Amino acid sequence: MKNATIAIRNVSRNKRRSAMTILAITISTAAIIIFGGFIQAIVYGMQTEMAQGSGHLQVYKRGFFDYGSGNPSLYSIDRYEEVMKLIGEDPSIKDKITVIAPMVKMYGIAGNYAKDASKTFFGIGVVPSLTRKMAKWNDYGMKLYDTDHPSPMKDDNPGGAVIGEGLARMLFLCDELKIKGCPKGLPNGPSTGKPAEKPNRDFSFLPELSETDKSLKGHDGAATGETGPKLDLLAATASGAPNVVSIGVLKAINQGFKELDDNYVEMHLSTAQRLVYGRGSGRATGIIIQLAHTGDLPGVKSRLYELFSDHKLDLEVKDCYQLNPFNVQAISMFDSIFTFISVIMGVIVLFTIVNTMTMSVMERVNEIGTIRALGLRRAGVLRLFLMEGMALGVIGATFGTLLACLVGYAVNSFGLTWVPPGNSEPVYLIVLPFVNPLLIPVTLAAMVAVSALSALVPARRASRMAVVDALRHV
Amino acid sequence: MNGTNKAINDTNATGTDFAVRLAAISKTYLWGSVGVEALKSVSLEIYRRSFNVIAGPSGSGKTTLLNVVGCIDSPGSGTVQVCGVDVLSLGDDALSDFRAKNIGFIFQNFNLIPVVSVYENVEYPLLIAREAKSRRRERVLKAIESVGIADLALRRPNELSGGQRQRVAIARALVKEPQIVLADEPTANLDSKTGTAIIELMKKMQAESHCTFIFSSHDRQLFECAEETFTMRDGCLVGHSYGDCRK
Repeated sequence: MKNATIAIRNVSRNKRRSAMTILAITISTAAIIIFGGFIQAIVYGMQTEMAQGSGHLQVYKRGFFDYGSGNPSLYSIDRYEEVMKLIGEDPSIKDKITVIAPMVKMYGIAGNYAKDASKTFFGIGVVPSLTRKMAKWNDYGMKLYDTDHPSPMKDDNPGGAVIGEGLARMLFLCDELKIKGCPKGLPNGPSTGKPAEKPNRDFSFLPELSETDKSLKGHDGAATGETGPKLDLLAATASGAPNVVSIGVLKAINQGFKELDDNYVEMHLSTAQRLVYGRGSGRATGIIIQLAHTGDLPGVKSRLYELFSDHKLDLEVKDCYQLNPFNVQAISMFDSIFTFISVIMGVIVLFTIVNTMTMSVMERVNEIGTIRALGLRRAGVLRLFLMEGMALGVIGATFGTLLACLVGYAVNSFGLTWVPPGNSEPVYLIVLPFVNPLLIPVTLAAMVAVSALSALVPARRASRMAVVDALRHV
Repeated sequence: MNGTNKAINDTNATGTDFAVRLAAISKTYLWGSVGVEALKSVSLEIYRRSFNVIAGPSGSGKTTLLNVVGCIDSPGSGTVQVCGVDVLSLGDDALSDFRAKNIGFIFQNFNLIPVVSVYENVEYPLLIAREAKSRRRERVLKAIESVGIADLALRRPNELSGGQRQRVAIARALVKEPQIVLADEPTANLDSKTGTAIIELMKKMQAESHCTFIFSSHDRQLFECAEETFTMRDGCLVGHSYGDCRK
C-alpha cells in the first residue's frame, strides 16, 4: 500500500464530487485535444492546398516579387528551361522535388466583344499536365474532397483557358459556362436584348492575334463545343506595345477570394508567353517547385540559393509561406485561439480541483491529525493531498484523451464538410490528434500539472494544521 | 501520594528508568480572548514498562497531559522528557520521526483511516517508518493476530463494531513496537463489557510488549487495572496512587 493507493481510494471516497471533477477535467482535456487536432488538420489542409496550387517554392528573377508586376518582361527568367534543368539535376535536391514547372504571370484586359464587355484580369500561364500532377500532391494523406471541377486544360490545346466565375459573370458568360448562382433578372449583355452591332474586331495591326485565333473555332467570338466562348486578352508586350491573344474559355472555376475570382485567367504557358513576350520567346516570369515533403523546404531553398550563387544567376526563391501570407496569418490566428481555449480550460480545471481538494481537506481534518500523530511529516501530508489532486488529473486527462480519440474518430468518419475562408470548395472536417506527437502528451502533462498546482494550496493548508487542533476537530 | 501537583517517584530511580518525566509544565489555551489554564505546573514521572492511568473528570486536563506526553502539543512552560529525550528541543520533523518510532496512539473515536482495510490501517505506521515490505507483513499479521482480528484483516473500518475498531487501533498502536502507548479514554465509546475487554487486552498487550501504557479515563472501575494512577482536577495533579496489580 503506497500513498498513491491511498490517494486513489480517497478520490473514490466522495464519488459524486470526484466524478464531477473528473468530468470537468475530461471535457477540458478532450476539448483541447480535439481543437488541437482540428487546427492540425487545418494546417495540413492549407499546406496541401499551397503545395498543390503554388508549389512549395517559386523562383523569380531578383526583384520580380516587388516590381515585376509592373514589368514582367524586365523581371523574366531568360532560358528558364536551363534553370529548371539545373535545379532538376542537382544531386542533393533532385530526389526531393516532384514537379518543376514554368509559369508566366501578367495583368491585362479581357474582352468579350460579342457582349461588349471587358474587364481587367490577372493571368497565369501554366503547363496543364504539370498543374494536374501538382494537384495530386497529398503527402499528409489528407482525406481530400472529391471536387467536381477538374481543370479541363490540356497540353495539346494551347487556346483553352480557365477563368474565375466572377470574371465570367462580369463578362456575361453565365449562360455559356453554366455558372450556378448567377443573379437572375440582371442584364446578360447585349445578346439578351436587341442584338448589338457587331464590334469591330480587326486586330490585324497587332502581331499575335491572328496566330492564336486560328487555333480556335469561331472567329467571330461565338462559343464552340471544344473551346467554349472566346475572350480576347490584351496585355503589354516586352517592348511596351499592346498585344492581344484569343482564348477559348473551357470552364469557369470559383477561386475562393472574390478579388481573385473576379480577375483570374489561367491559360496555357505558350499562350501567355506569346501574349507577354511575343512569338518564339523562351522566357517565363517564374518557376514553380513542388517538393515531395514540406519538411524539406528549408534545405532545398538553401541549396537553390547556393546553386544560383555558384552559377551567378540573379534569381531569388520565395517559399509558400511568403507567397501565401494569409495562410500564415490564419495559422497564427488558430494558434492564438488554441492557446486562449487551453488557458480557459486550464483555469476551469484549476478552480474545480481547488474546490474539490478544499472540501476534501475540510472533511478530513481529524484524519490529518491522526496520521500526523502517527508520525507522518508535514511533507508527507502535503504529498498525500498533492497525489490526490494529481490522481484526479491523471484519471480525468486519461478519460479526456480517450474521449478525444472517440470524438475524433466519429468526426472523421461522418464525412462532415465545411468551407474554410478563402476556399471555393468544401473540405472535410477532420480532426488529427495524433499528427503532432506533442499534442496529447503535453496536454496530459499540463492537465496533471494544473491538477497538482490546484491541490497545492489546500494540501499546504492540510500539512500546516496543528496536530492537536486537527484531532480535536469534529 | 506526593506533594500537590507532583508525582515524583523513588529517589533511587535513575533517569533511564523513566519513560516520561514532566517538570512543572503549564499549558494555557485561549478560549476566545479568555485564557484557560489546562495544566498548572504539573510534574510527574512514569516508569518504563508500566501500565498507568490518568484519572479525572472531564475538563481536568487529562487529554492535554497525554498530548504533551505524546509530543503533539507543547506546554507553555516546564520541561518534558520522553524516553530520555528533551522533546521540546526537537523541530517538527524530528518530533514526527520521534512519534513514528516511539509513541503509539489509541484514540477515543478510534480514528481509523476509513478508505483502507484493517490490515492496511495497521500497516500504516510501518509505512511511515519506512519498514521493508516483508517485515511489515510479518509484524502486521502478528499484531492483528494478537488482538484477535486476523479474520477481519480485509474489512474496512465501517464494517466493524466499536470493540473491533478499538482492537484495530490497539494493533495499529503496537505494531511498530513503540516505547510508549497513549490511549485517550479508549473505552469511552464502548459499552462496559467491551470496555473491560479492551482494557484487559491493553494490559495483556502491555505485558507482552513491555512498553509503557498510559491511558486516561474517568471510569473508576478501570483504575484497578493500573499499576499507577495519576489523578487530575482543574489542570492540577491532585493524586498519585499505586494499584493492586503493581509489579
